[in-house]
Amino acid sequence: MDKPNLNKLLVSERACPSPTELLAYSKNNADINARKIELHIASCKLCSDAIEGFENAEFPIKNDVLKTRYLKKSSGFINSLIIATITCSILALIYFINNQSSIENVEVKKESGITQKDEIKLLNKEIENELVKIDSTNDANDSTEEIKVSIKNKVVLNPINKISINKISENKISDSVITRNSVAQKREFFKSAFPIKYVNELKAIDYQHLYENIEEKNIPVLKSLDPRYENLKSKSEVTDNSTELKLSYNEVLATALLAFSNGDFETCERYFTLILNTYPDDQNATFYRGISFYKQNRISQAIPLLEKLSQRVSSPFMEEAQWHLANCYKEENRIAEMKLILQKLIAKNGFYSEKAKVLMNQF
Amino acid sequence: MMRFNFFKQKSNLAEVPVEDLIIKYKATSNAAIIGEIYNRYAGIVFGVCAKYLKSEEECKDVTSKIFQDLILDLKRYEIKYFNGWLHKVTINECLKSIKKSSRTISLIEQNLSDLGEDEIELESIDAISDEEIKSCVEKLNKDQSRCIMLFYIEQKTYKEISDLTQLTLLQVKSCIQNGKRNLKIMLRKNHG
Repeated sequence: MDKPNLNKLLVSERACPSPTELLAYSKNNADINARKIELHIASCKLCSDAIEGFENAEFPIKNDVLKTRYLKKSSGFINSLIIATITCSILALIYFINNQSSIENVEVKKESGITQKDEIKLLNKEIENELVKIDSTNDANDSTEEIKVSIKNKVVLNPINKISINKISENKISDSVITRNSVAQKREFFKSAFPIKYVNELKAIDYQHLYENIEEKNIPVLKSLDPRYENLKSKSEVTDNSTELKLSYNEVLATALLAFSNGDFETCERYFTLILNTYPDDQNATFYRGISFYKQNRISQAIPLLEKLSQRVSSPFMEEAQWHLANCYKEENRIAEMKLILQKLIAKNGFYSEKAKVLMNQF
Repeated sequence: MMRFNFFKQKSNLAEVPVEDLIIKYKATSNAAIIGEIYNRYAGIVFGVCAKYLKSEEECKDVTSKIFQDLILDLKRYEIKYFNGWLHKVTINECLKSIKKSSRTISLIEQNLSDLGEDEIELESIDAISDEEIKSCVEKLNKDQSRCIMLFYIEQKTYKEISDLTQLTLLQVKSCIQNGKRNLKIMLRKNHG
């Protein structure tokens, strides 16, 4: 026996032929070096199956189809995307036509120095005042009570706040009348739609009502490669226990926050990343991951996360995110941006207002 | 413009083995590497999908999903043999797609049963003598032994072997693949 040929028996050919070569081989194209392809497919199930696919497909496969640019999402997906875009455009057009007069009002206001953002701030302030009022009333009083919130212009609010948007025509002022039967309901109405809970004495949003499958163990916490995807030595090992571990959202969050409390930022970062892989908009993970970066002095990684939250009016982490963001900007010597954030915090007159004033005075 | 460049980018990556590309991607998260892997494998994955799925659109969707997931999977998993791994991921995704459309899956389940045995590497090939290989080839079943001899020693093509042995092309392919794998298993037993 010839030694080089025997070597071929034992060595796997790694580099796969191109898809067009495989397709040509499947069509018995004479220009193709069949021997080369066959030596490869003797040890590559991927290409071997691809050739079988090309040979037995229930639809015609041409070279053009294999060009990678045609293999992006199918036209079905693209059609859905186009329909969604058209629908959004139509809705935006209707919205624009219906509210032209209010836009004119906003323009007038802009001239006088009041922007739409200011309007939102004012509205938030009003909501906070109402909450204080509601807190001071007796919970037992279940009589129907009307709370009127006067909004002097159309204000675009996050719909999560459940405030009906006023439609104002010309210069008239209308009131949105909100009726609720109990104090609790009123609180619920005005409060942010994100209920708060405390895990390891750390504030967190309770996503119980938002994540339908919160108790389901759906977050993969992988210790190693799933054996089904590994090339193992024997079949028995494939069917053995998988090393894939899955935890529920609450379990991962609790582990991450515990690590955060203990200053184990590496662990907490890993767990928050897992949450964000499954729930990309998760505010708990975004906020604490941002803070852990900040505490590790990884300022450039902290900034985008904190920026994301500091712009969310409805987020219970907004103020905290803004404060830490200001500090990040300070570290990065982005003084103008820092001042802008501090001004916002001072204007809010909230928990961080005093601290913001002190920091502002330093510059 | 960047999206288009992502797929079109031709660079010095073209000659790099895929396992090295993965190591590089893990270290740099360079999107061009994913683009290169996509260029090399998307058509092949599409072909595997065509074996199991009924429509072209379905094949495109599954191919697209596999490469979307790949961006994270390459970082998440320790992939030793990329071709084998990608093959199994593709079959699993096809299976999921079939389950979703509630079609019969008997064919797929049959093929899934032999997952995990196709990539067996021998660490010290030089320590294995010709005689040992020859005696192991003879221990294989008759068809496998004959096909292996014809393919590797006589250097015949599948078509020629099919004509000589009266086996179908599919059987020849299967005999060579399984024979080669069994041979490796035998040799690995002999060499610990």
